Amino acid sequence: MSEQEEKNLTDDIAGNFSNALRERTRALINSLEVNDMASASELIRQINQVRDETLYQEVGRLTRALHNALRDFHLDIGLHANARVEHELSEMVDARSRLNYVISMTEDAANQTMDKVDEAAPLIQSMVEESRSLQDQWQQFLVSQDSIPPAQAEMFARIDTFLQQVDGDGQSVYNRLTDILMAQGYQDLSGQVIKRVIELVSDVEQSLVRLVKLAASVEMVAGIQTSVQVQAPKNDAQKIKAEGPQLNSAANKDVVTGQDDVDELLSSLGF
Amino acid sequence: MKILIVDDFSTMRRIIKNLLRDLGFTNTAEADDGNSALPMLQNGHFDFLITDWNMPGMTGIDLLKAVRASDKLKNLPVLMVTAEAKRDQIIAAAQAGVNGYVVKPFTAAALQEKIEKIFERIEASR
Repeated sequence: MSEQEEKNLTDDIAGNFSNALRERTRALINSLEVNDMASASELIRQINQVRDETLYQEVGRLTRALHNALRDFHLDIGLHANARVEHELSEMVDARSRLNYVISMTEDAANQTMDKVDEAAPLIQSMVEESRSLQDQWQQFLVSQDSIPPAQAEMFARIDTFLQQVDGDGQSVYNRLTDILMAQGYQDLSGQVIKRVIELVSDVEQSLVRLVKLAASVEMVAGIQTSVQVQAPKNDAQKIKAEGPQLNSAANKDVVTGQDDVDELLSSLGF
Repeated sequence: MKILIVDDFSTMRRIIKNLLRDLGFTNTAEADDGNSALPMLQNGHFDFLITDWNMPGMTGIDLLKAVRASDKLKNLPVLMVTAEAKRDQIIAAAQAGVNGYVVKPFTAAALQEKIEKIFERIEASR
């Protein structure tokens, strides 16, 4: 629904109510002037009823919008991944478990990266240490030589440079491994954000269920003439509340059932 | 030097553990929130605590307050390593008696500097 459409609808609802109010107010004044108390009471009752119905329609519209937003959030994300991943994704019909999937995927990726860093770091470290000890020995050897044969002078210089380079570059590779390790902190930071979104989704789902129940009781109290059946949500609402972030697939099924029950409940309310 | 690392994300515990190892601290233990950390601190002989703030169960700030309220642990140096970056949060941590505060994402050098500063101050106050 566009902003303009939404504004029109809001104006309509408010307009309908004020029209109804104006009409009945005139009639109410007339009734009072001729001292017809029965008609006056009836008109006041009608004004109340129109107001309740307007409120109820608004609550219903809000509930419907919230429900649609949630349903969209639950839609298949439609990734064309390999068969195994696709199978895993098809199991995840629920937004929270999908977000938890992201957390566990990034955690695995970060751990794999850190495994490689842990494997590479000691290799480069021992290479640096060995090059340093060899440099010492090499310098002692050079000092012990009376003269360096001219034929070998160039090679000796290259060996010298190479040993220093292994030391310097090796240290620099080690520092970059530390940088790679530090960069894995993204998993913590993004994970914290995702966990907040998971909490938000849980809150929204709970609010939706409460809103649907509220809409039903508003309708009942207002005595509006549609048949209202409030079904099932009690147990499912409790499950959603107790669950928190999604942890296992068995619970995922429960959440889906809850969502279906919300659909069912909404349709029974005539939305 | 025995160090306890508290964070609900194992990735971050591993990063901090590796950095500490590079700095020469190899005697480390891990906990995933304040509730599991507190009994470890009370029963083990830890010399230093590095904790996150935002954790399910007991948060880092509550852990810090519990540490400062305990006769046995009140002098334990505490470094907070957290994504909580609001001014009033940092002030609250300071008021609760934190010894250092590192905001994520952080560099290896920043962590090293804060740890060294904490130990310098402890040495100086002796």
